Amino acid sequence: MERISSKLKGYKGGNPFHESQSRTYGDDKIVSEFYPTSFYLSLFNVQHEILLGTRGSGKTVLLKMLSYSCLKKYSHPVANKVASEKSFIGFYIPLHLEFMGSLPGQNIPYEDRLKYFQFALNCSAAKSLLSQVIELLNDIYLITKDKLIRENNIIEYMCENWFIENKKISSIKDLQDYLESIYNKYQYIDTKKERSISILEQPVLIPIVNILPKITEVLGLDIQKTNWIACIDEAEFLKTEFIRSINTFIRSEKRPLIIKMATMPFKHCTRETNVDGIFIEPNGNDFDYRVIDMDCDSQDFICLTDHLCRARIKKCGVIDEDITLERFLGVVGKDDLIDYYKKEFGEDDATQDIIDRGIIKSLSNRRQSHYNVIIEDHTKVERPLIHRFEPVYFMRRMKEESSRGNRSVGWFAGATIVRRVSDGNPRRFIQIMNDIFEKARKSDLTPKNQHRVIMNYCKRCLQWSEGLPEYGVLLRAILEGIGTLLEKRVHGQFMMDGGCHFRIQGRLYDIKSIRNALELAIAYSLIISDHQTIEENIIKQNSDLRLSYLCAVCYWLPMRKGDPQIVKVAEDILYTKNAIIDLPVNRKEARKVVRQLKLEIFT
Amino acid sequence: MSQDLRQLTLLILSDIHFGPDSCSKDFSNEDNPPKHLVIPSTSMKDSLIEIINKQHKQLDGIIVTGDLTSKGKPSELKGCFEKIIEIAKQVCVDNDNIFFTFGNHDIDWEISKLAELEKPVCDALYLEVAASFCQIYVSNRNCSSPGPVPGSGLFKRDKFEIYIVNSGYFSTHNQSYSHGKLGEKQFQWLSSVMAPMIDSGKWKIFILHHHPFKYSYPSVVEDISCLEEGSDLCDLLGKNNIDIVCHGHRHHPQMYTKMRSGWVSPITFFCAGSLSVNETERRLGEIHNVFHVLSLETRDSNHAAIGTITTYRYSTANGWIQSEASDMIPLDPVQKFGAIETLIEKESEITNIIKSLLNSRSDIHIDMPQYNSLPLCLLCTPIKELNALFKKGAIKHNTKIVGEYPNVVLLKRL
Amino acid sequence: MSKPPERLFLTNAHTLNYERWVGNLTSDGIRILITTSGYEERSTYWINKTIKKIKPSDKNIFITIGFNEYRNELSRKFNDEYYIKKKIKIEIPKTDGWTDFRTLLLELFTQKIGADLNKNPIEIHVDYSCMPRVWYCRLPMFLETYFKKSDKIFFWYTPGEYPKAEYPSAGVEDFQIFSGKPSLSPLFRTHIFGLGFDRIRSQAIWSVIDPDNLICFYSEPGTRPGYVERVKKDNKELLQTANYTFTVPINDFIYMYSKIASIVQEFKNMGDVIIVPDGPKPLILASSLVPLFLNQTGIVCFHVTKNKNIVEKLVDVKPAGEPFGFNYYGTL
Repeated sequence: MERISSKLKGYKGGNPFHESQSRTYGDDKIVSEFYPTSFYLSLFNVQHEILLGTRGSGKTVLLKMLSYSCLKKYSHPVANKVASEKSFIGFYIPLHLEFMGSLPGQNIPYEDRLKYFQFALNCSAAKSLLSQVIELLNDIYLITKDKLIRENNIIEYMCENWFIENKKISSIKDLQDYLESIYNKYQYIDTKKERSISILEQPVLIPIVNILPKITEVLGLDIQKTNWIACIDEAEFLKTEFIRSINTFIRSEKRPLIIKMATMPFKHCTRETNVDGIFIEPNGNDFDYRVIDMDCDSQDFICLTDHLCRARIKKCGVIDEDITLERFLGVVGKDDLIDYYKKEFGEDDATQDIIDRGIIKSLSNRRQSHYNVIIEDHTKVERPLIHRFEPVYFMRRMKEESSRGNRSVGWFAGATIVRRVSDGNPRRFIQIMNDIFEKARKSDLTPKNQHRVIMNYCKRCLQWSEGLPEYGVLLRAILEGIGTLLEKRVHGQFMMDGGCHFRIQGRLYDIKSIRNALELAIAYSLIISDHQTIEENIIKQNSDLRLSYLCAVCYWLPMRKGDPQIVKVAEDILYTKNAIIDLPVNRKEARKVVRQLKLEIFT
Repeated sequence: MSQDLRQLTLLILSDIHFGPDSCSKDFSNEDNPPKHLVIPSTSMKDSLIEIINKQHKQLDGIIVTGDLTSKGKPSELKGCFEKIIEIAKQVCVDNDNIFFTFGNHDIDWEISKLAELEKPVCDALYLEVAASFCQIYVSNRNCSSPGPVPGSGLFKRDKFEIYIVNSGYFSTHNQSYSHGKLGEKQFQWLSSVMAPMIDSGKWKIFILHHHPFKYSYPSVVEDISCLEEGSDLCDLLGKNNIDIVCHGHRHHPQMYTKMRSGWVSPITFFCAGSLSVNETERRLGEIHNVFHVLSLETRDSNHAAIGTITTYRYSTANGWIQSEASDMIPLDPVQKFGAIETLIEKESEITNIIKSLLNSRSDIHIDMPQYNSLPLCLLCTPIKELNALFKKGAIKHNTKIVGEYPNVVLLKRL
Repeated sequence: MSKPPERLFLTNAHTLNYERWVGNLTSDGIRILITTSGYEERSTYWINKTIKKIKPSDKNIFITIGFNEYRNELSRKFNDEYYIKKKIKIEIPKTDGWTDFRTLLLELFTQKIGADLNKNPIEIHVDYSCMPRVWYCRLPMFLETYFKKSDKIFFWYTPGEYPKAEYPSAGVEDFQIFSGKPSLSPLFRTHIFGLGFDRIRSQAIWSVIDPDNLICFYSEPGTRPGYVERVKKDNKELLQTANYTFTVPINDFIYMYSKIASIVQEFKNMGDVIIVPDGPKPLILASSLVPLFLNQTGIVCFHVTKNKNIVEKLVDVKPAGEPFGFNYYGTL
C-alpha cells in the first residue's frame, strides 16, 4: 500500500498533532475529531455511573460529548435521535485543581468546609446547566421574542427559588455572572442576609434537581422522557469528605438528574455517604463503575484512531485522499509480525521452515526433547509450540539484530504497533503521531524510521515516568525492575514463553509506597490492569497486570499475554504488614530500594 | 457652512517606541532587538496589515501620535519611519497621507546634554538641535502650511484638514518632567492658520502627543502627562471648530466628547493606546498594546462629529483581535462617539422610551426599539453601561428588561 | 465577617540597583530594616553590607526576626551572634507561620515607630533572601496597606548558591492557591510554569495539573554562570511541550513582574490563567503578586509545597552575588 505520509516531506506548517489536551477543545473540534464509540453511545442510560479512566484515556472528551451542545453536532443516528428527542441533556462540570484549591483547608471546621464545597459545586453546576439551556432555547425557539420570554421565565423561576433579586437579571448571562460573583465573594458575604447562598449551600445538586422540572417544562420537553446528565469531570482531585457528598446524591436521587462522574483509577476512594453506615452499591444498584480504557485492538479504538488521523491530517491541506492510519504509515504485507520479520531478514531467510527450525533450536533442551516426541502430531506442534513461540522468537531475533553494530531494524512499525503502543489511550496515540508527523516532514516513514521514532518516544515516556507525582521516582525503578526481569526471561539463553503479563506477590502490596507507586503506574497507563481490579479499587495478589506496550518496546518484550509471571520478593526479606519504605528522592535511592526487595520471577 | 462631508477612515497608531523599549522585533532594529520575547508569537506588523486589509479596506490615512522611538536615536527614527511607510504601502495608503507628530521620547538626550558642556552657560542651541533632529528622518509630506517647529504643520486634503503640533519639542533632558509644552510660537501659528479654515466644511483633526487635560484613571497616581497650556489649547480648538483631537503619551486609551461655553461645537478627545511599547510602560503589564481605526461619519444637530473608534489589542497567540471593554480600555470594540449628553439626560431619554412604550402597548412583553434606532446619546454609551441604565430605568417603572443590547430586548410589565 | 482582600497597587514601582541605591543614601526620615536570622549564611549578607554604608546618626530602626525552628542548625548561631554583636535584638514569633509573623511585625511597628508613622516619610527595607514564601509573598501587600503614600517600601534579595534540591515530587494535597480566585467552569485555562532546576518537581506538577495551554518561563540571565543552560537542560521535555516560552531578567524585578502580568492579561481573555512558579525567590514573588495586582477572577497563583512525607534536608545557602531589589509606595 502506498504510504501517503510521503506527501508531507518538506511540509512547513504546524504539526496538527501538537495539541493533545482535550479540555481546550470546543464542540466543533470534538465532533470533527472524536468518533462516537460504542462505549460513548452506551452512556445514554439512566444509571449513575462512575467512569474510571487513566490519564489521557478520553474521559473529558466523553463527558463533553454528552453535553447537548456537542451531541447535536454529531451526524450519527443514535446521537441524532438523542439530540432530537432531547432524551438526554448533559452539562459539563469540571472539578479542576484550581477549583478544589480555592476551597478552604483543614483549619476550617468540617461543616463549613462541606457547605463551601456544596455551594461551589452547585454554582458551577448551575452555570454549566444554564449554558446548555441557552443552546436548547436557541434550537427550540426560533423566534427571538419567544425565546426571550422563555428565557426570562426560567430566570424568574430560578431567582424565585434561589432568592435572587430578579429585576436586574435580564438574561441567562446575567444570572451566570451573578453566580460567579457570589462564588467569588462567598467568604465575605453574610449568608444570613444573602439567602441565595444558603439555598446553594444545600447538598450537592439538590438545588439543581429542584429547578429541573420547571426548566424542562418551559423548554416544552416531557419531564418523563427527558433526563439531565451532570457530567462531573476531574473528580480525582476530590477529597474523601467531598466524595461522600456526591455519593450521598447517588444514593438518594435518581432521574431526572443522573450523574456521570469521571475520575482516575483508585481515586474514587470511598463508597461512604454522609449518613453513617450507608454506602453506595455498585453493579447497577445505586451506580455502576465503567472502565473507559479501550483495548488497543478493539474496533472502537481502530475507528477512533482512523478518525483522528483523518481529521488532523486533512487540516494540513496537503493530503486530500481518504486517510486511515494504515494508509498514512504504509503497510508491510498484512501488517502482521511475520511481514515485518520477512522484510527485515528477506524472504529467503524467513521461510516458515527456517522460522520453525529457529524456534525449536532456541528452546531449552527439555522442550526440544519434547518436540522430538510430538513432531509428527501437528496439533501438538502447530499451535502449542510454533504459534505460541513465534512472537517471542521474532522479538529475540530482532533485538539481537538491532544490537549489532551499524544495524537498525524496522520492527516496531506499522499501524498495529502504533495502536498497541498507544494501549488504547487516545492521548498517547496523538503524542506518538506528533513525533511521527515530525519525522514525516523530513524523511520517508520507512519501517526503520517508524521504529526509531517509536523507540525514542517510548524511552522518553519511561524516563518521564519518574516525574509523576510523589511516587514517580519509585515507580520508575519498579518498572525497571519488572521490565528487566521480564526481559531476561524473554531474551535468556533459552527461549521461554514470555510476554508482558505478571502478577505481584501479595506481600509487596503491604508496603504502602510500593502499592501507591503501582496504583500511579496504572493511573498513567504504564501498567495495565484488568478492569475488575480498577472497579474494586484495590490491587491484590490475583490482579492481572501487564507492562504497557510502551514498556514492552523499551524492553523488547512481545506484545502478548504469555503466561502471567509472578513477581515476588525473595523469601529472606521480611516485612511487617504496614511496612513503609522511606520515599526515595532520586533515581539512585529508588533503585537501591528496589534492589533491596530482591524481586524475582516465580513461574 | 458647507456640508459635503464624506466618511473618513484613519488608522491611529501611537507610542510605538521603536527600539529596545518596544515589545516586538517588528518595531526594533535587527542589531538591537528587544529581549525576553515570547516564542513563538504572531508578528505584530504582519497581523496588523492582515486585519486592516480584511476589515478596513478604504483607509484615508495613517496618524502616528508621537513617541515613535525609544530614545530618539537616528537608527530608531529611521527604522520607525521606514516601518510605517512599509505598513502604509501594504494597506494602500499614500505616503502623503501619513501624519507623524513627535513626543517626549523622540528627542535624543545625549545630544541635548551637550548643552551642559559649556556650563555655567547652557547652550540652548543644542537643545534646539536635539529637538529638531527627528525631522532629518521623519517628515510629513505635502504640507500646506508648515509650523514653527519640526513636525508641526497644517495638511489640507480632500476630505480633511490635519493640524499637527509638536508637544515634545521642549522635552529635552533638563525638563524634569516629561510633560508637554507647545510654546508661544506654536500657539501663534495655530491661531493664524486655524481662523481662515473655520468654515472649510471638511473634517478637522488635531494631533499632538501629550494630553490636553487630565483624564481619570482606575487607580490614582500622580499625573505628569498634561500639556502645560492644555486649557488654552482646548479653548483655541473649540473656537476653531475642531472635530477631534488625537494624542498619545499615557498608553492608556480613553475618549471623551466635551463642549464648553464659547466653543463652536463639541470636540472629541481621543487618547490612543500604545502600539508596541513594552510591558513596564503599560501599567506594569495591565494594559494591552492597541491600535485604533477612527471613522468619522456625520455630524449631529450640535455640529458634533459622529463616528466610531474600533480598537484592536495584541495577542501573542492570535495577533491583533478586537478588544473588549475593561477598566483599562474603557472602549467598546466599536465605540461610537460624538454625543455630549449627561447621565441625567440619558436616563431621561430612557424614561421617555419606556413611558412611550407602556402608554402605546398593553402587552406584557413589549418589543424595545432596536439598538441602531436608539437616540445618539445612548448609542455613544458603552454597551455595558447602556444595559445597566436600561435595567435601572425599567425598575423605576415597575417593569423589567429582558435581553441585552445590542441584541433583541423586551420590556416586561411586572 | 472578614473583608475581601484588597488589591495591590505597586505605586511608582522601580527596580533598584543596590550599589546605586547605597551610593545615594539620604538621611531624611526614618529607615526601618527588616531582616531575618536563620540557618543560611545569606541571612546577614545584605544587612552587613548596608550597615557599613548607613550613617549611625540616621534614624534607623532594626527589626530582626529569628525563625522559631532550627535555632541551632548550620549558620544560625553565627547569624544570631552577628546581630547580638551589633546590638540588634532578635524577635522570635510564636510560630513561623504568617499570622504570628504579621502580629509580631505589627507590635514592633507600633512599639518602634509609634506616632512617627503618620508624620515623617519612612523607608521600609525588607531583605527577603531567607524568608519562607508565606512571609515574603504576603509582605508587599501588607506593607502597602500599612504605610502611607509618602513612605517607600524596598524589597531586597541576595542570590545564593543552591545545591540540587532533592525531594519527592508534589502530590495533589500540596497544591494551594496563594493568591487569586479561579472562575467557575472556565472554558479554557492557561498554565504558566516558572521553571527552576528541579526537573522532577516541574514534571510532577505538570503531570498533576495536566495543563490545557502550557507556557513556560525561566530567568535569563541567571544569577550565576551556567544557570540558563542548566534550566534548559533540566526542563528540556517541558520546554518542548510548552506552547509558548519566555524569559525574564531576575535582577530587574519590575520588568520581570510586568512581563508576567502582561502575558497573564493577554491570555486572560481566553479563559483562566494559573501561574505555578518555581525557581529563584524573586521569580516566585513576582508571580505571586500578579493576581493581587490584576485583581480579576480567573487569575490564580498556585504554590506547591514540599512533600510532607520526607524529612527536610537543610542547606546552608551562601551568598553568590550582589543584592538587587525594587521599591514602591504605600497607599494608606
